[in-house]
Amino acid sequence: MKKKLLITTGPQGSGNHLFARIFSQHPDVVGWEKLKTNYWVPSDEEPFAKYWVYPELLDFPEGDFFLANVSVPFFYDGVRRVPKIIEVCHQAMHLGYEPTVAIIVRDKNINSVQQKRVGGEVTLLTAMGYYKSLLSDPNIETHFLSHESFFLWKDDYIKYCGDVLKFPVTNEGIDQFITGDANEKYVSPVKEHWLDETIREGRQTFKQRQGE
Amino acid sequence: MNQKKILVVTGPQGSGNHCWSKIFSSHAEVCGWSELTKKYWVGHNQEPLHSSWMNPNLLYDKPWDHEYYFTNMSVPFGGVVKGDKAIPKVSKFIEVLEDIGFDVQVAVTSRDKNILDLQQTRRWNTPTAHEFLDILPEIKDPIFLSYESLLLYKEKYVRSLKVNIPIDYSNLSNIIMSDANQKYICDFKPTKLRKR
Repeated sequence: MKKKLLITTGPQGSGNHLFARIFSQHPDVVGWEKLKTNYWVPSDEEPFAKYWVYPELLDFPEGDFFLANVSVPFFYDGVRRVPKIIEVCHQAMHLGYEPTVAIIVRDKNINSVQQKRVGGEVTLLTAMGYYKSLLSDPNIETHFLSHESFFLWKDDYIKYCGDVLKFPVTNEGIDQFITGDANEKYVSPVKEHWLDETIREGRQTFKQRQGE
Repeated sequence: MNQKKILVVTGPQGSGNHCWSKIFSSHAEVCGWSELTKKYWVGHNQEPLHSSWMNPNLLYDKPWDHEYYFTNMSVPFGGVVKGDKAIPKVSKFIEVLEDIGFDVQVAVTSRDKNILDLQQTRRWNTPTAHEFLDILPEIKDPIFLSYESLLLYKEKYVRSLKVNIPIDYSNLSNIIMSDANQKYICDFKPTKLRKR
């Protein structure tokens, strides 16, 4: 069996740290150790950080399962860059490893608002453009991870992701990451929507709808 | 002869049941919720297998003369405003389909839980997602469908799901033309930096 490299990647603010933590939890995984004890760690301190800039240097420590994470774009040594994920994947294959990419998705409205607030500009399109190229590469196995599905289905969703990605996962310790839903502060009620009454009417019996 | 295939999509009210139903019913070889492909909205009580949700044994009486089927169950169905709220017997429904000889794939819909709670409360006076959470453990190895991923990655995302029925992608962009989440999103301005 080939050794496996799972690369989780998403637009800035889509849940990169969250999923990096989740997939670093299993004892068989060589992941982002520093994130297990720190709430936030700069992206250029991620174990694979230099390879996103210099993929030709890619090297692996001992282990069978590796977790790497990078946002698109990301900051390396104070400079904003688009990480060379595609090149890292090809280099990993060249070294005999099996790379899989999991693109993290968060509601695009929330993701955009957060990027604007934190970084001053929306970089979602930069990420989407890069992922379009990534998804077009027939040699790279790519899947999607949903921020919202995780917060809704929690353990069941992580188990599903592990099955799809063929990567060891554990639910132990995951509770510490789900104490707060990062989307909640961006969501506010809508008073009434044009379809509401139609839907309520549709929930009546046929007899009720005919006016009894 | 190939085993007949059915995709069962189920999920909380307002989590994208209709949207996914339109997508999975669109292929000519799939016997699904065809009325929904012609109208913007149709009540779940007009879904073709609706009568079998509470009495899955009725599935034994269907002719099943297609190769591919699609069905969708909202959990719960029926409003709490008018009429009775009901929880489909999802696990029994799947069991009967397997007994009939189907290759059954189950997909669970998801959408931001904050939006779900707000929408369900607005329409039904109370959040109902927990009703689905209660039955989720009964569903063996479902795949999960993300509304937010669908909106962002469209065909690429749907293809990545590897569902067991054919899909017609030609109308996908029309089905997901509007973003139902957008109206719920507001700007957030933190009053102070919260350090953990």
